[in-house]
Amino acid sequence: MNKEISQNWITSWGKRHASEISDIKETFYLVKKSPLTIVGLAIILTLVVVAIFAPYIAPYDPVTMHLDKRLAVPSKDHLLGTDELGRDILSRIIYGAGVALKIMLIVLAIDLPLGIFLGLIAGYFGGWIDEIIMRIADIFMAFPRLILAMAIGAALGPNLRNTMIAIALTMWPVYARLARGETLSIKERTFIEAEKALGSSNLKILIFNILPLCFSTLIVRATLDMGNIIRIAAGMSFLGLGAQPPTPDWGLMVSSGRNFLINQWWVPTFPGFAILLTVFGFNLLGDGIRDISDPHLRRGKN
Amino acid sequence: MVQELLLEIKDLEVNFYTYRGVVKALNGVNLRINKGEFFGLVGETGCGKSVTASAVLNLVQNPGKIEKGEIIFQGMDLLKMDKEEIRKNVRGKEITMIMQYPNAALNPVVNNGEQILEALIANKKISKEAAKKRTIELLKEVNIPEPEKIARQYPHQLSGGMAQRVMIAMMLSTKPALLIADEPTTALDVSIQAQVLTLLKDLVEKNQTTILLITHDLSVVAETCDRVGVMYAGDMVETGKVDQVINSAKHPYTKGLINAIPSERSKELVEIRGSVPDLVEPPTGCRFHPRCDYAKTICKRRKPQMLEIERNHFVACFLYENKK
Amino acid sequence: MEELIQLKEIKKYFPWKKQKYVKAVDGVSISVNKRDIFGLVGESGSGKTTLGRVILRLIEPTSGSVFFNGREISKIKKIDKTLRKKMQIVFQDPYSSLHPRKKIKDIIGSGLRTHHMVKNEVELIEKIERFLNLVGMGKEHLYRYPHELSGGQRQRIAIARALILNPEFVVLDEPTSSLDVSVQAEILNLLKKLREELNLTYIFITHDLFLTRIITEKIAIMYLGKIMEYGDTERVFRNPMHPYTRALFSVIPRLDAKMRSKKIILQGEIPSPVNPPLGCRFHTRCINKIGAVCEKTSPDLKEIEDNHFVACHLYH
Repeated sequence: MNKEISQNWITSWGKRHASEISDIKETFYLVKKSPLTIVGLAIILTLVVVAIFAPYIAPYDPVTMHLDKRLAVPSKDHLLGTDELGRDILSRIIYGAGVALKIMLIVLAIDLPLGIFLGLIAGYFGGWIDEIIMRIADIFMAFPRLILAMAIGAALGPNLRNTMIAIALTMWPVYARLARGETLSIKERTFIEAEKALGSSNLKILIFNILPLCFSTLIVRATLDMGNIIRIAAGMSFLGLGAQPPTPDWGLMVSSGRNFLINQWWVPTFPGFAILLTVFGFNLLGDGIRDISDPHLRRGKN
Repeated sequence: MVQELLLEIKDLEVNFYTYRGVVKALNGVNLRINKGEFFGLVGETGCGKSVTASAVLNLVQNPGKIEKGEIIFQGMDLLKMDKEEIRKNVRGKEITMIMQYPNAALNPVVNNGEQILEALIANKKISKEAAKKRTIELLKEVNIPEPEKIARQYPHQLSGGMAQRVMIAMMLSTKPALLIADEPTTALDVSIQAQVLTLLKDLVEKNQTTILLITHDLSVVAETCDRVGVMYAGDMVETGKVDQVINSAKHPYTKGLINAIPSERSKELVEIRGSVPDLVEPPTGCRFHPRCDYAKTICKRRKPQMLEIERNHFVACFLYENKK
Repeated sequence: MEELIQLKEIKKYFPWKKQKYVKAVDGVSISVNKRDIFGLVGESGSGKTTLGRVILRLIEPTSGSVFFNGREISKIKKIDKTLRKKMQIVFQDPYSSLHPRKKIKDIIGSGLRTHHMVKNEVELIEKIERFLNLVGMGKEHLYRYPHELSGGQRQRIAIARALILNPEFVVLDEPTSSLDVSVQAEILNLLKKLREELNLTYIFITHDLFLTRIITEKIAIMYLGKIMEYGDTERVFRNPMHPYTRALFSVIPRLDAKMRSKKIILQGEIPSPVNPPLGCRFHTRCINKIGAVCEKTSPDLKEIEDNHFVACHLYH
């Protein structure tokens, strides 16, 4: 009896969501057609898996020092060698993935909602609200990103949390601008006029009608920005403003390892390579998402 | 007076390879246009009329592919010609085209006179002076007031009707044998539409230009064209002189169409039951059979061939198989 | 015949660049009776679309009054929800009037939720299914997206969306212009049927004159923001009086050669509504222009025969 009920529920669920399922199928088809996107996706998925399962994958603990084995050449025991304090580089890179992801996600968790909110109301209401928000955004955008992040980071105090806040503050204007631009064009479309004719409140129109249409542009931008976030965070760690020792942060690893570049090249190189690969993966993925979201490829979605 | 054949399309088949499947856009289309004729190609969205025009100009783009057929123009099969040859000597020269939105085809940063000038110089070896004179002449021919002033203006300064006339001037500059007009007046107001259509009709009479007019508006065809072809879902279903097709329509779709459009005859609008088929899985046999009140078993099985049921009047329908 | 809507000297000017205005609607007065199908006909720049929106107060009139059921609604600051429910609109383009990322159920249900017309999800679905049937569609469309439907189907959804709120009148803004001819017939017949079943009043905006003759009972012909001629549709068609109306009728393409009369081809373009001609708006293209009076004074609408009004100095 229970089997029947659950089967019925599954069938009816399937019917109600047939359209989404067919959309997902179409997405997979398009992804398959683009090898570069698959590569990007693979890199990022690997990153995520490594970050989640770090405690199980890493051969050693990332902070334990083995002072007798400092600056060891890559070998069977330590596949990527050890750093100046005898810590296993491979394990630090593995745990570093989690740190990198955490930075990216927290920055976006601040920037996306903030940027979307400000962009939507600036675009929809226009007038002085728009002016004020855009002027403030202009001020933030007037400074080169890294410099601004450094200034804010230094002012707040050098630690990872403040770095994330600093980076978030330099990047929100981009999302606000983007959301505002989308809102400006969407609000002129007929279906918005239709909602007004039906009596929908402005709030309802903003949240249920305009916001869902902004997602794809913003997600694409966010994905392409992931690489930038890592880069800036690495730069800040390099300058001593970001993660503090002994956190296994890739940027910090490159920074503290730079003195050893000539003779013990593996110390800064492998973490540097990890940054490179991650940025590359996100760029490919972002490009891929952008191409797939392109309304020309999809049947009448926009 | 024997009419000279200018364009003959034989058994043209075009498919589009899309994500959803293969769209069988043209299902073996046959068409004949005589020199000096004003021919109207009529049908609803998806019937394949624009694809047919693209095929003539060899502009069928990916994912579309011309599977088979012949397009014989001035004695030569365009489908067998070298693509470069077509681009250089046929397209834009012997066969030109105007479209629904002239502003999309006009270069926004070049003034109107220049656009025509460029077309003239590119196609004939004449001096710039002579070309300038000819440009003004052409603008006068298409009834543009103050042609010198308009020539100096830019496309965005033109209204829809004027822009369309500039397009026509440009497309006539090479004295083409065939002018294809794809929904040229659909986006224009009725009073402006009348101006442009009268112009086209005059051009056919005065210059002996052959015009292929593509439209969904049967009344426009009735007023301007000599002969008409009715298309449905990738098939040509009826062709003939305008008087024949409109006043003694033979194909059930043509009859249905005439009853469904608001015209001076209608007291009410009569629907054609059903809907236009999906061309990825079109109906078997005659593509109209699911909506046809007269459908017989054979209609599902075989595609009807075009038969001449009275002089110059052809229908593709099994109702008339035996009445030749 | 009870009057449902009355417009008195409605003007709508849109600010345009410096100190100039687009005079979209420039003094229109009409009245629409209950259960009328009232046609608003005109070419581009005539103001018919703007007028339709002003009646619904989707756009605020610059001046003039709108009366609904005897009550003046143009002075109310913010239009209240109850009033909104009573007047609805179906737009021209079914491809942009439905939200591309919403399911049909949510598109149609939006109004029901806003006006708290249903108590729960079950009632919502029931009501939506009922209206889907009313417009000739099945409940299998509930969970689909607009891009999965054809133009005609989308327009049916747009109609269901408007009618589910139980309005008293509906503005139909060129509801079939974007549709194929054979589909147009279906939608128009559906609209006629629904008018009977639900006791609706329609304001039917279109540029297609023969369509107007078939569908509407009253007609107003607009040009550059003013009404040139108005009255019972049959009368206006049998005896067009305004030179503009006559010119228009003469150039609409006809199937039968016998039904065609000499064409009055209007010269020139439709003037810009930013600088409409002074006096009678049509005088710059009018073949029957009398003289200075046409250039200086704008003629008023006068009843020339029963239920047939013309704004032209020829008849004054």
